[in-house]
Amino acid sequence: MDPITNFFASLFEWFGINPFYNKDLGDHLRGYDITCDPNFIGTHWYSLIGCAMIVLSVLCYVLQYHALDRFRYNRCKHWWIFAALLFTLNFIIGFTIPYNSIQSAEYCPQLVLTNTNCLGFGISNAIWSFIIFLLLTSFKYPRYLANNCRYTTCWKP
Amino acid sequence: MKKSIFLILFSALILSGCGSELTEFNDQAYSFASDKKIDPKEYKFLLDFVSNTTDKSFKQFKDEKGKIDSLKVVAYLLKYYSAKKLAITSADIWQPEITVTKADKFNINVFLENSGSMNGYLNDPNTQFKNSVYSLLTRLKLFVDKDSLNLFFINKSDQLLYKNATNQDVEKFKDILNPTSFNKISVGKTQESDLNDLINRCLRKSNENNLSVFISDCIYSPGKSHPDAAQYLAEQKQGVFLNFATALKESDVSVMVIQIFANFKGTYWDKKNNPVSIPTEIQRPFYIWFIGSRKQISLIQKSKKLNELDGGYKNKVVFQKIVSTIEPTHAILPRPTFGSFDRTELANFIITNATPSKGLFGFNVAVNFSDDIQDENFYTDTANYKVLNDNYRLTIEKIPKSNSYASFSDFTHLLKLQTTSLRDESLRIDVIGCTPSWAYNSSSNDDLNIANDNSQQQKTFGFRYLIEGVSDAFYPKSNTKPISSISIKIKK
Repeated sequence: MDPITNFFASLFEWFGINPFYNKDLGDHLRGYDITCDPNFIGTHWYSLIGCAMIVLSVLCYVLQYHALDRFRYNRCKHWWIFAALLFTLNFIIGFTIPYNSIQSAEYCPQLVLTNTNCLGFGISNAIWSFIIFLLLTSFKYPRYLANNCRYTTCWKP
Repeated sequence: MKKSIFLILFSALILSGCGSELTEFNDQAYSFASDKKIDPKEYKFLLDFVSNTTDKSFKQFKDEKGKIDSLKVVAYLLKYYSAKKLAITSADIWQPEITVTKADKFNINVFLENSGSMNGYLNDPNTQFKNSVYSLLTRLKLFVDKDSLNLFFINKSDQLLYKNATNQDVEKFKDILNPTSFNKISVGKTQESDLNDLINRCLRKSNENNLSVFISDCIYSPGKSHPDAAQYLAEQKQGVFLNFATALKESDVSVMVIQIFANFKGTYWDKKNNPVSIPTEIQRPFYIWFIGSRKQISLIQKSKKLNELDGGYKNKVVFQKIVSTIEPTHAILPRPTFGSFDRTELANFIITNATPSKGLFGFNVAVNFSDDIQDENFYTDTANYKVLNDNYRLTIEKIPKSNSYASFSDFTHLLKLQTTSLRDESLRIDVIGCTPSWAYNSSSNDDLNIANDNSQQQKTFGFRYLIEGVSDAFYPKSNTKPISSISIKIKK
């Protein structure tokens, strides 16, 4: 398996604790395909979803702090609105992709995938996007490159 | 702001629609299968798709030089269609004609024992024995086609009846399968049969160009001259062992024995050579031995001609010379039967993070034994397996050809392993050669009461000694080399 998939697998599975979904969904997202080939030849969803989650978090940051960067949107409540949007979007992505696989029966029949697991993965994906957004906006840089939102964080103003 | 939000949503939308190139390939293959067949154009499209992609997932379809193996592509498509529950077989997928190298031709020499003990099988003009032998000869005639099929009676000497038998000769041979013709043709050429000698003569007549087929009731006859039957049988066992062990030193001999049941009525000679009258028809076993090279036995097996025998056969065993241990194609199934494990290293036959559930850990291994010359049923008998860790319990199931799991489609047998003492280890499962259990169940040490004892009627006197002798020659106890072996690493 490629290192990017391994990296995101450990991230989404919370370094082995994996509190949100079962091992079977984890293997499906690693690339266990419909023919149950042990070489993980299917789509490496972990890499795709993980990269998308990072890109969306950065885009969300760019949107609030640089694209908009308005005085009227620099309150901490606005930060929470953007974070909620990002959280929701990533939850939808994390939920929809495995859910579609289940609905179209496009997964190894030896795996047990349920909707609850899809919810769990959606939450996991959403939490990580929130953490990245939090990290991007909690430190002085790159936030200080903005004009009107340079002091905007989750706790102030 | 609207533009930026649109950008985020658009990115999300793109992502939800994306997948690997294999997904695209699968989708294409699925749409092609809507008419339940893959035509040449569609087949070519799929092969071009594989050749034009650099996606790592398609590496499985290529050989070491990067050339596409079309058989692998077809095997994958069949797996995929099976997973998608589409009733498509390999016949529905168009494939370019593959030039098959014609198998080496060889003669088939059929030796039918014509001693008096065989008369009981022939007393009825439409006996099961006659039908079985006739159906065998017709299949062998078709099998050899341009090679010769030679028909012999075997007893004191080998009596050639039809050399390079034609269809008419086979028909004539069938017609002489009655006691009157037996006696007329073989006058002065029969005697108290020495089974070991008959088999040894068939063995010596087999080589790369000749396959021997020996048909007999395989009953040892100690007679009055050997009052200690047990001693006699033990000696015969050593005799047959020596014959086969000597042949094995010189050539690549393989033996296949099938057991068939047929009606028997008339005179039976017991172990003291006393005639016992069997006035009504009873079911008695007789045997057909195929003695030849591994290649010849393999061809007979693969032709499936034996499945067409009239009335079928009850048991079969194949003895093969073990030149080197084979590692059959196998795969650990992704779902543990007890406990749990990680699947990340399954491709390398390594089970990681193995965890028992309520003290029990179990998993299944699918194996493809179809390339071997052994009978499929041989592999369902746990006596033919040796698991190097005694703490593992092994059960075996045959995988039906029309199974519903795509992951099973390339395999013939399912090995189910479970243990209560899980530990880090390299678990080896060997397939070993030994005397089949049916040979013991079909053998008797006493046939004096055969007229009244139903159990004795179903058995062959001294048969286990005969088979044990052959088995010991092929699989000597001093040689620990298994027929085939698979290894699985287990890490806790």
